[in-house]
Amino acid sequence: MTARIATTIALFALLGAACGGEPRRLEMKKIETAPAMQLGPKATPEEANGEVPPLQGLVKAIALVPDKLVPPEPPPDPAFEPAP
Amino acid sequence: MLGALLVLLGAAYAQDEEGGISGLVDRVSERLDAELGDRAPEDDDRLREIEPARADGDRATIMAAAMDAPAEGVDRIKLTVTMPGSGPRLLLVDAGAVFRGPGSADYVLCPNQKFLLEAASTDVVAEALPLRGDQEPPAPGTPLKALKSNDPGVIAVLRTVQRLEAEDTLRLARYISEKDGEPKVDTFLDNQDVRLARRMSWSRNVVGKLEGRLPRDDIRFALLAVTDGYTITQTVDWLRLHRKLEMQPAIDLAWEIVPGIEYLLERATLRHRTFSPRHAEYHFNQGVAAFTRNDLDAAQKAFEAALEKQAGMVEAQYNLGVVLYRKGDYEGAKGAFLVASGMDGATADAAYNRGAADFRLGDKLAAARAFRKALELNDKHTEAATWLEKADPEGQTAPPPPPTKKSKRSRGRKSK
Repeated sequence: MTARIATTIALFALLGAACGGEPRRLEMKKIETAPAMQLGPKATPEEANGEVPPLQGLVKAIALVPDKLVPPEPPPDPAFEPAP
Repeated sequence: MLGALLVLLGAAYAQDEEGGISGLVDRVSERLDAELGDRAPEDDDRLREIEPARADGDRATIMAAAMDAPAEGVDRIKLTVTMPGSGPRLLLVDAGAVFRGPGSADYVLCPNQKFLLEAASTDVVAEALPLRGDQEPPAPGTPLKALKSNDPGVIAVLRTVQRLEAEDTLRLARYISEKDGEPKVDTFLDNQDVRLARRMSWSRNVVGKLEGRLPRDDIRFALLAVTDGYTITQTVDWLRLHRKLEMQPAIDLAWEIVPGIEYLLERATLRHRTFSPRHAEYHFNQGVAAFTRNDLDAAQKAFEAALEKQAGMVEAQYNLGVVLYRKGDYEGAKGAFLVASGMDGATADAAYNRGAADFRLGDKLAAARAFRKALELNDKHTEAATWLEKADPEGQTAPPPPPTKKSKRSRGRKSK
């Protein structure tokens, strides 16, 4: 009888160990993104190594259309006046 | 035609007394049938779906659109318009509607075209301009779908044309006189108004009123500047490709068109100075483009050209410094940044880059002084703060402490 109880306990312990245990986190994989395109010449090796200050970049091109452009209101409907 | 227009006039005045002449005018962008509408492409935020015209009194509705044969180098679109009433009504072309053919060939109608509607169903043919320079016009008869423009640049250009032709012409008409039955500009003056009047083509409508029209090419290339990044260079290419011109005639024609395009862009409050080499901003943008494709010699020339046009253009002076630095000319870069950091509108980056050039040339104290200047202009410039520590760890370039107030010496008799 005692042996049967001990076997049952051992079996439950074994099942418990198999089912439970340390919860494992799902591995967060990084979303792969395309590397930023290098526009213009690269920094010199001295800048890249931190031996000299990195140069601040170019001022960007002037856009024809301003960011906060508000188009003019349309003119009122035409009024037809007879010729003088 | 004249009789119908007089009926319209009478109706207009009757309507005016009742509460507004606009009840007789239908604007194209507001009167597009739902069947004509297209789905707005998800990847293009410049277009959105139309709001279908509602049945509203006698108002006209555009039921179908199809490409028509071009005339005098201008594309044309045929619109099928229906109206429930007996008319007459006036269909006015305004800004907003975009007609799309196969292969995303997008067109807008030239503003201020007016069509008199008298029958229950009418086909009208309107002049149209492409929104992309390289698009091939669909074959005549090709059905078109309609969308609404969501592009503030396009709307600004078209509404500016509307205003110039509808309102400015009233003022400009004083310079017009009839010669051989044709209205022409007749004045010895040479101001902005007269130049604009000379660019326009003038005619009298059926009731004898003077109407001025802007050249279609002015509107065409102003639109392509907004939608396709056109400058005078692309305009020359377009003229060669579509008008079959040789290089020099294409260049000559482009230069003839430039004042009109720039005037239109300026009136639309766009940065018109990026369009042609008459302005520093054009050369500046050319310099940035050359730099991004690693052509440092071309970039240097372009920034120098910008400075020749506008000596105080601090952005061009700064960018010239960046180009010289990247070419390995650190002395030249230092000089350029020195000038840039002393100009009106100089940023902290100009002072910082001057310091970077000094540091590379081995003059760390000069670099530290430049970094301090950068921090004066922007106290959150982290690079300047970091490299100031490295260039001047002992604080030799720190400004002297302000003089402390001397304690007042007691005058008079010493206390005994």
